[in-house]
Amino acid sequence: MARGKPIYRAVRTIAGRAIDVALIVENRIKSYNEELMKKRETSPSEEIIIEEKPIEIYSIIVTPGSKAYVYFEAANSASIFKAIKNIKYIKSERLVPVAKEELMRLIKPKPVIEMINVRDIVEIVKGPFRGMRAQVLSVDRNKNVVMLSILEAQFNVPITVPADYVKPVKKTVSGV
Amino acid sequence: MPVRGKPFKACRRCKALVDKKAEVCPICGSREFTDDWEGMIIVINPEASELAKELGITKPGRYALKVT
Repeated sequence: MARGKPIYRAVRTIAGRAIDVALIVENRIKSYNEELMKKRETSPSEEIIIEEKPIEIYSIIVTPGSKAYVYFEAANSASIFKAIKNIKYIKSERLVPVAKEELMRLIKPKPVIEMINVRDIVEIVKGPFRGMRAQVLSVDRNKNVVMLSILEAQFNVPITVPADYVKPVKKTVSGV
Repeated sequence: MPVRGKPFKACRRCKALVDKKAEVCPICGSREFTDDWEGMIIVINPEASELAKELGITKPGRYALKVT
């Protein structure tokens, strides 16, 4: 059977319970679909095949940092409603539509090193130089480190820090 | 309120979430695990899930989204 494009929906949960909700829904989907398969095998009447459809949720996502939302990738909204019914940790059973791109941005953030180029201005967010601004002297994408020159320092001493320690502040226009 | 511990540990190689007592990752066979993980994706149908494809997940299961 040809599948349509999946839909993406968010459901609000009680704070800190998103992982619990995801695990409960996972169990429900598995047991519901297994039972339905058994039922279809033992009494393959048309009624069951037409009326009772399996829960078609493809994946359940709890994004890093978010503690009160669970995201679903499913074939249809009916499947999600069926799966989240009467879970006490769910605050509202209203489904919030989410774009796939938005969800991808949440689950797979672009590594900082890919956004940094030589001569960019960055802010150091970790380590002994935290809070200082610096200019990028070189980027080593293999080792995931950047060489910086701290703007506030009186002497120009290049330092090497892991790329995760910096946050891009200002991009330099290429060719300038 | 007491802080609840994380129910799983994550495989450093394939990010699969496994039981705290497990010694070998059932997905990739690695023995390196970490408790420092964030976010979770439960893949139920990897063939139909576009997110699983984007993340390179081919087997159903629970995976961490960020492992440090």
